[in-house]
Amino acid sequence: MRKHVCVLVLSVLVALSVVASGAPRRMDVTLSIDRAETVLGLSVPLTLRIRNAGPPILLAQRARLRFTRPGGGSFIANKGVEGVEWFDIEVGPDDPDALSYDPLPIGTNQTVEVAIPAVPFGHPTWTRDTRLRDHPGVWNVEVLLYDERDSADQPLAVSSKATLSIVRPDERDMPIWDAIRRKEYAIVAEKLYREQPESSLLPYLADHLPAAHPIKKAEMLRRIVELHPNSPLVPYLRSGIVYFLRAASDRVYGETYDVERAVALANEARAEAMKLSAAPDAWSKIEGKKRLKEIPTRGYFDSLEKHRREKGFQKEPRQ
Amino acid sequence: MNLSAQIPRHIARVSLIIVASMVGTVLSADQLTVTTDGNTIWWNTAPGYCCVTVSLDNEQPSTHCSVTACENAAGKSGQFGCNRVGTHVVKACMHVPDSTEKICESKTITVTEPPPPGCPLFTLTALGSKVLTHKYQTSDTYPSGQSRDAQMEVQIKPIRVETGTTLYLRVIDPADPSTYRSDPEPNDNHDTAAGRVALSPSDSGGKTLQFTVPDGPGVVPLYLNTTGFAAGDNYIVQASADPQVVENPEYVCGPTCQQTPTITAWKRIYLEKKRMFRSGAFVVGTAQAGQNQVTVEIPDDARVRFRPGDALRLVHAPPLHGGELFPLFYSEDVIIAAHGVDRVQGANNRRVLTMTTPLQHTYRQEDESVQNAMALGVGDGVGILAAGFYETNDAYVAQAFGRAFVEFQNIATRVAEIPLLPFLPMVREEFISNKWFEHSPVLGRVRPGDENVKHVLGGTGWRDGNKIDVARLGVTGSGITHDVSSPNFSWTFVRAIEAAVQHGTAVTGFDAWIVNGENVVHELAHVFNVNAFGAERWHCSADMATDSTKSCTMNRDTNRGDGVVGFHWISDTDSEYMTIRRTFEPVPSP
Repeated sequence: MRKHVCVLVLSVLVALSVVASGAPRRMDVTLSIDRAETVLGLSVPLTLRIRNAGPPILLAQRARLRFTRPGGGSFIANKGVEGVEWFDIEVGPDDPDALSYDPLPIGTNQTVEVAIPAVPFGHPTWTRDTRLRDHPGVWNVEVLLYDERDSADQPLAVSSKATLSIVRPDERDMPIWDAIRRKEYAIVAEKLYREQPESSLLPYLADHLPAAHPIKKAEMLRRIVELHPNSPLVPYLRSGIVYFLRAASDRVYGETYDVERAVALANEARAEAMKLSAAPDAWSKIEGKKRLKEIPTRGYFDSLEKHRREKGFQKEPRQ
Repeated sequence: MNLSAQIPRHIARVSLIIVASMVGTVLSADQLTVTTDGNTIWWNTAPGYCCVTVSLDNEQPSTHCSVTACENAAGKSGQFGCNRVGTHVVKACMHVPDSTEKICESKTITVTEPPPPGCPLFTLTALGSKVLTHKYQTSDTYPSGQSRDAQMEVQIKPIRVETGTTLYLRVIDPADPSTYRSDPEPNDNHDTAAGRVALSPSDSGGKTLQFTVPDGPGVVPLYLNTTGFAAGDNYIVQASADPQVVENPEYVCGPTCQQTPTITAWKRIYLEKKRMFRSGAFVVGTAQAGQNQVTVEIPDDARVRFRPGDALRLVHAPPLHGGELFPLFYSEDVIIAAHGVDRVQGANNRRVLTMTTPLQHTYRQEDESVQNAMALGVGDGVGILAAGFYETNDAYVAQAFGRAFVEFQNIATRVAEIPLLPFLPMVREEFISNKWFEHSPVLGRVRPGDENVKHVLGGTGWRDGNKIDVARLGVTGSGITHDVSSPNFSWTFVRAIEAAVQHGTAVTGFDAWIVNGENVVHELAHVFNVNAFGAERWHCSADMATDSTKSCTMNRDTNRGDGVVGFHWISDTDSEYMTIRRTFEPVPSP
């Protein structure tokens, strides 16, 4: 044991001395995009496998994207607003006391997977950059990563290039796209859900489907996921299912004080969060773990009941 | 309680009220006396009234007020000279002391002596000098003299002119008085089709008019139809018995001509203002009316501590996606009871708050349509009143926009506060903005706003890692930047400004409240889509027109914090002033 402790201490000292001496950083960052093609305006997830072969780093939870046309110029993508160029990357720190944007420490010889997710219409993302939005074609994509301690002008590492072909929408979908261009998201979403649920655009519009109850919204998202199991939006929608089931448990308790029903819904949310965290993609793994921590337990509802009985007015619950 | 002792006092009190009413009725009979002295009409009102407005023959009334206490106010008196022969009506309205009540009385008087030679042939009066292009809110009132959009009443009062004489009128366009223009000259109005005078309010009229002087005393009302959008366009109406006034473009209004003062068109915009709690949380689940507890969730990255005795304000807005038959906005104030703050197992950022009194309304988490609603500011909330608010400073708005002949008026709201979001979701501010926007014909995710109503909010700002982004001091929704149609919101990032004046930024060292005020002007100008086609894209790199030592308020890099605001004017087509003045109404979202 003492030998192991000595080795450990020695390793730490070596690591610190390497840092202190300004040892060069060596990062291998591989960018992968799980599909070769997307339609103008539809985002896809960008997954990064980061191997740190150098001294420990503090990975900032944001990155920039560089798009290059083969044989042409390159630019840093924005979110449709000039100068708004940072894209959040989900890193999922384990420390429950960490602030939501605390950087992720990556030690020497450590490998992590992070992601920039695909998002629905209405979320600002790289597809809204006018240099991409109106220009289909084949693009090389790179992700620029940063150490939290460095200047925002100095990337820590640049990922490998991944190729993405951005194509025009199918002519048959033009009326829908025209409505999307007019930002009539809710109208299109409801119409597709009712009449064309098989449309590949529906997952990108699910955010805009109104529902009268979170349970209903969770059901809608489940249906969409069943119909589109390979959509790039599936991780986001699964996260939504967890969110709405958890919200339903809060609402049910607040309206009826039915602890059993609230716990059942929370357990359903937990099951969905575990499915999410077991998914193969990096974002789902991280997001699932985050969501799991948020889901209330029976103890939570029991403590609410305790406070209500001790101090609350005895109001009859709604049936 | 001695009921029998109370009854006599009650009866005495009622009797006193009855007597006072009778006295009031009797008093109103002769509050006004009118007499003539030659051609002059004299009027007198009884003492005891603070302010009296008196008019002759439906002309513009004049107001006479006392500076002494109303009960001891002396009677008022005055005269009307230069009257036509015939029967005139004098009307006086007297304001009852300590009351909003007015007593009005009219008296007729006959003048038999003709007006002296020194009197004019006629007078020409405009009932006001400011005319609104539109008054969209029905609860609002027009400026004096106006009762319709883009129309001012002008009155001709014949005095020595003979009945049957033809009077000729024309509308001229005087030079723009704005000091920021280098090229003001007559006939520089933008809306050249407007400026027409008519005999009836529903007529469009013409640039010139003639009519025959009728018999009898009294005024002849005419209607000047002004521009419906070009604020700052101005007009003078001239009248004469000399037809040269309409036949000769070079005619100069002299002794035989009368003219009104300059009448100028203004835009009126309404502001629905919201401020963000500096400390607070979101409602979790449902807190029903009648219960005394609410479960709240403190937002991520917020350091909020609830304590027994804290005065809180709960705020509610209808669901963002709409769908409620009777959507309501409401709020109420409550106090946390002793031992009224409890943690809950497994949820570090949630608290159960117990109040001293039951809730009057129901508050709920918005949980049915918007994913991650709380992170977007969508949900009912609670704020700690003692912590204050992130609110906008509108001290400079009148100064800046007055030069563009635009006036802003605050519009009443049911809820003045919005929940705390330590960081606003970047380029997704439409969620929290629209959730809390009241004055809109549609209360759904898309909220264009009622006509000419603009939504102005004070809040925190964007995120820069774990800190507030001190490089961004505000944002205004536009169809290009925000992925929602008809975005109607204009934010000042108060928290970001308060940090920016501390750090190494362009506004370091300035007073945060002043920077706040200048930023409000900057963001409100964006509402008019200024510099839409300029190289600086909605901004400019020019100097202030009224002070070339300073940058224009729309200059992105200007050192905003000296309390001086103003836009640039390079030419008629390159100026925020002119863009703002000429925006069609209702003012659309940029």
